Amino acid sequence: MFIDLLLSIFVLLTFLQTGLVCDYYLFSKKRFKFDLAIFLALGIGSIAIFQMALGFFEVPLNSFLVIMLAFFAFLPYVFDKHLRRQVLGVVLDYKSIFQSSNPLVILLFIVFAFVAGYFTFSHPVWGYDAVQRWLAKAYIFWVDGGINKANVHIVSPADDPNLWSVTASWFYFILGKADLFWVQTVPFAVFFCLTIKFWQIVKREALGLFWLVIFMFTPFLWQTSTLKAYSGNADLLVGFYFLLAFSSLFYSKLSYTAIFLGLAALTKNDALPALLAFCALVPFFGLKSKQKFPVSALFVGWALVLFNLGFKYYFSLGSRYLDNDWSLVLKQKPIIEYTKYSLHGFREEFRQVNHWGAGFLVIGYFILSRGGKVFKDRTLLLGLVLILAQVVGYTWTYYVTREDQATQIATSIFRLVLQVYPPLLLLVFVIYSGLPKFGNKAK
Amino acid sequence: MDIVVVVCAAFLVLYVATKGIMGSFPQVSGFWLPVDKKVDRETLGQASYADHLKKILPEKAYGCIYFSLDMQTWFLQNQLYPRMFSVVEESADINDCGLVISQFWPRTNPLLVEIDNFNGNYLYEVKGNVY
Repeated sequence: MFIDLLLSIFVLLTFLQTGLVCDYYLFSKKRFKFDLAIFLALGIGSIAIFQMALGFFEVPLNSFLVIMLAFFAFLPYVFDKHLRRQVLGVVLDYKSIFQSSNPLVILLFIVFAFVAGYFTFSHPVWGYDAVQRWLAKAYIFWVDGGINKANVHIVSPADDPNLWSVTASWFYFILGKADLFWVQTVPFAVFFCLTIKFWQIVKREALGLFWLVIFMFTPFLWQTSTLKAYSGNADLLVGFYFLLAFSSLFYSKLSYTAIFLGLAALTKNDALPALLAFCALVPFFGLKSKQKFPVSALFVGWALVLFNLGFKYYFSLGSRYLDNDWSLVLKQKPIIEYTKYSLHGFREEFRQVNHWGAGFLVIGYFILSRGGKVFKDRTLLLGLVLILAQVVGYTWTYYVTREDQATQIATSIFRLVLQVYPPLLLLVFVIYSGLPKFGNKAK
Repeated sequence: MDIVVVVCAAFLVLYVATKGIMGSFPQVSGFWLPVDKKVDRETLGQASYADHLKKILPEKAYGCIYFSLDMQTWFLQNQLYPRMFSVVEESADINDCGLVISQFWPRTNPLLVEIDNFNGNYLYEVKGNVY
């Protein structure tokens, strides 16, 4: 058990280190900036893309190869003096992190980590979607040494993206076994990185601690990483990527926004509307602002769209929603009634205090009282449009789904709302406070 | 007004979360159990059964699993990969199944010959089939 725990921590380190290397060499122009959430998100994403790319060439992986590759990620410390010095500086200066933080927040994080850890590690993953879809694929990829044209179709629906599954299979390769228990360390780490990222943004505000509490203690958010029924689902990862995409947007780092939206779409198809809306709108956003035209953001965004669709095309995955007889759907289902029903479903979900605490009450209050500010700031407007694109996508999916719409809504709407909840709360926080340091002040 | 809303919302969230956590504590009892036991407890012994079947069945084995408990059945089917076992209902024609797994209870179908019993999970061979 102790070895498995150490190996699980090692897996997390490989994600963080790979993310650090990607960030340092590809995006930060060799200026090291310590950000756990970005490292974890980029690490998971880049390793997933790497494994998916290996699938194109049918190059199989095994435990030995994966551990070797994981060690390669640490090699820059040997060859790059500049990086080594910067990272060591941050590590040796760890005391300043604690000294500059509110002790109450540190205590809150520690207590909550213990409670959440106690819940999470009392059981293995045991939710229908997790066991039957995401981790079932992970097991198959682990047994076969990766993705190939045959095994990608075994678990239905085949058109589900594979980021979470290949992340779990990477975990299995290093652990040397398919483990429904230790794999929970990934969503557990994702949840804490999500809250740390939120805290990094809200701490500048006097009421930052209260905003953190509203976010961190949102029942369904922490339950998604701690309850056996949800801890293996992919929705938390999508919410994580969306939060990072929005925080990058508000900090005018559009390339990061494109990357994280792209990675969200590689986690679940549900996230495609936001990515497509971003790719379509970012040229206008760039042309009207005083900043440079966002060429790299546009390039990265479309590259990830093409990679996503190219993967689906190459492996003949199709789309359960697009491969439909549209005339039949339109004939059988009155679109207005069905859309109204879905929107009522969302309204009902927003008022579920047992799922969202006071999160949606706060969101509703600030949108109603200060919503006008969104239209005065292009960044906020783009954020709102991305969320609306998501809601339109969800509603459209509920319309075209072959399953009964009511059943589909009852069993999935809270998971969809979880995806947009973190960025929506962040958007509302920015409406409330602005981001004065970065020139996006909304007041 | 904004401050009042944010502060009240934070306290409401804390209240709901604390209530949820305190309510869930009595149901969480497995933290100190060994990992294998936690997994077996949740899967109703199907994790151990899958390990057992992997030892006795060749990788090319194929067959059917009678649908019993939802998650446990799908879990076993997945764990047996690359052995391909289809999930079948009670009334299904099992003549071409080769091997048949019945989780949790025995079968009395005269076509089936019991070849293994692991903690109340049964493996049968369909008479005349080769797997």
